[in-house]
Amino acid sequence: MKILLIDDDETLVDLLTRSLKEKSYAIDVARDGEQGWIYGSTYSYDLIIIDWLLPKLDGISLCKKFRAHGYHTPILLLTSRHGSQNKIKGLDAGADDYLCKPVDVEELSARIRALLRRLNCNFLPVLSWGNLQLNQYSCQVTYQGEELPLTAKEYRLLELFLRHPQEVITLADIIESLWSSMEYPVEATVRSHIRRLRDKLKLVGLPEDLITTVRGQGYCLKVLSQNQILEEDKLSNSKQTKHLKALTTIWKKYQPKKAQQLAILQQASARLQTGELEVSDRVSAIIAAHSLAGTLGQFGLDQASLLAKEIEQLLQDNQPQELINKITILSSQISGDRSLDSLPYPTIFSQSQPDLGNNLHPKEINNSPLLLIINDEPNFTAQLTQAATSQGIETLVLSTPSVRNWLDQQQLQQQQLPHAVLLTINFANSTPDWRLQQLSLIAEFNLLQPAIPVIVLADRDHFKDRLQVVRHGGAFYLTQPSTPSQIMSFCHQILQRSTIRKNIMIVDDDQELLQILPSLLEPWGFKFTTLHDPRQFWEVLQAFHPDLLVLDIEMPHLSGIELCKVLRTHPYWYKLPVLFLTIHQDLAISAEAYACGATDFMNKPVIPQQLAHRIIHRLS
Amino acid sequence: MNNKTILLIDDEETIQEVVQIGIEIEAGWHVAIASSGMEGISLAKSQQPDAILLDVMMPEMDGISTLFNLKANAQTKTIPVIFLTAKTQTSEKNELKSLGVVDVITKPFNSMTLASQIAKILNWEV
Repeated sequence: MKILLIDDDETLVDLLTRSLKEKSYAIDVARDGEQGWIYGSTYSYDLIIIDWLLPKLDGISLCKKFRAHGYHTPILLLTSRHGSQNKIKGLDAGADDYLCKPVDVEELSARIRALLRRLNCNFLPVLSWGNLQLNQYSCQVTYQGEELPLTAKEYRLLELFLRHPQEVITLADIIESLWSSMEYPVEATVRSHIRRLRDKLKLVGLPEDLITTVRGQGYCLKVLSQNQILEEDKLSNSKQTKHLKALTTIWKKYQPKKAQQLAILQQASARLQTGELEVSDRVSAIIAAHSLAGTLGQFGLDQASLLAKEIEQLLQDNQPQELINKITILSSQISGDRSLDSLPYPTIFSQSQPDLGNNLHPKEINNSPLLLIINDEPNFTAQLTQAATSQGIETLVLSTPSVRNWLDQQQLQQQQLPHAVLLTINFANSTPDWRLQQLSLIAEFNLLQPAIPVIVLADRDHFKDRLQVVRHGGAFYLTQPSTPSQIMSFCHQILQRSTIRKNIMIVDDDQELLQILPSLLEPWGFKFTTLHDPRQFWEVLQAFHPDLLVLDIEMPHLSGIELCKVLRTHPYWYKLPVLFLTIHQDLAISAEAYACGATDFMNKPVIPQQLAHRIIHRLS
Repeated sequence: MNNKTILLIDDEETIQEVVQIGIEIEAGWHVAIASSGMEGISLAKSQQPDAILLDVMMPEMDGISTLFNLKANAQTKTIPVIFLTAKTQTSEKNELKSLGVVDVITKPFNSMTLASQIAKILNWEV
């Protein structure tokens, strides 16, 4: 397969050329739009990759020019322009696909494969001739399960024949497809590659004339006999029919069970409305939602499966109103107009896109950490934002003077505050007043409850500057020059340590404390699971998967020490941080707690701020 | 090619049947089924499957404990294990992967391509 890459970014060209060559594509490179037009209109390619921003003739105009002159070669547009308007513009100009920079090479390869599949109408990732199979993902060729050791050129030769099974391919075609325009192999070289490939195919038992010589014209792939083709089609069709039929039977068989699980969720919803949802009801509902999430998607009910997954999460987060709403939606989706009894049979078609659904899971998008970037240079800020997006970090950019106002507004309206702040300070060239304004911003974020970590990006590395930053409450100090991606990798690490939404499970027989603690610790953004009966400990632990456990020592039936001992016997839970709370001031008790695996120990009465800091420390 | 045995350890009957028909029809491999971690460990010892598909969330003995037991036993420690989980976040999947499984397959999966997915993970031919 031959690809034309039109891009002037040396680094990207180098990266793409290397990685695409590894995947056995022949690559020609053009550095500007005009050169791209000359290459594209002179040689024939299987695919053209065009950068949007090009010298002499931009990517969009080039795309239009190719299409206006009747070239149907698939075009993939590369660009740093995000947003649907740009995508529409690109696709309307004639591009078949659109990929935003920074380019993920694996994604690009997958898109190339998809475009080439469309081109050849050969939808399978595996090309085959009887039992000879060429896998384009792994670049492996096998015959009856045995791998054939082929060189890169032999692989591409075979791929060319398998892609064009009914065509006579001339030597010139082969040279054009397998060698880049800068290489000029003599025909004898091509013939010797074909000879070696034939020898290897023969060696494993394939017919000698699999690649047949057509005198005076070229070569072609031997046609599979009609009987062989019919056999293969029959096998594949009957497989699909059989599979679909079997799925339908399973669906019918388990419909009553799914209806029961839905009923458990509806009952939980009703109890939530009256405030009577017990821990045991909640655990049953989590199990039912988990099962529905795992199984509905198997039968093509992707939306319902996602909803069930969200319900499972909400049951753990204890968000009653949202939970009730979601259960109502799920109920109407699978028991309203489309009742469980009358649901269509499982659809193989919608089964084919589960990964896409997973990538777009709304909860994950909503949970992206937010980084506030305070920087007064637009160009650098744009680079930082781009690097942040590629790491899954949501950003908000503000200039130094506007931060204070924004912060006041956010607090006043109880809007979301950032999880970390990246503040650029120019120590060498700024006025003392300006520096002071920036340093006082650090102090302001540090005084919030909970404090927001400030990462300072400084222009120099002087001890006295670091000291100033630390004295104002700055948590981290990075120095220039650093690339945007290096800076964002560090920010990513810091954001990972954020305690927001970390799940804390508290086991204490003191119900009053269980009611008060979550509200006292609310400003730190933890999620809480509380349990007053230690006998339900194991069940609740498995269902809620806490990030940290707070245990009372003295409780009826089972002591905190015993629970901790049980926890430490488990290969997964043995590393869960455990913080003990007790009214005992006795040293022997704290020693016993540490001996059984405690991570920390605190005496009651609890000071919320102290407890929050201990939790944060243990979580990090 | 067709003589592989896959052991599925999952308490969910629907998943058991979907996996079984998917793998048997598409690849022709034999699927052995265990409904709990304990049963799975015992079947792994007696049947010596070529690979194990292991659900993470199960009552009594969960998938993680089952995995540790399989890895601790000389008869089963070399059998490749693939986790089946509803967790979709990359960090959660990486954490599971770091426990010593060859890969993690997310539920819901496509039963039409499950066998080829397993084959790809384990470098088998389908």
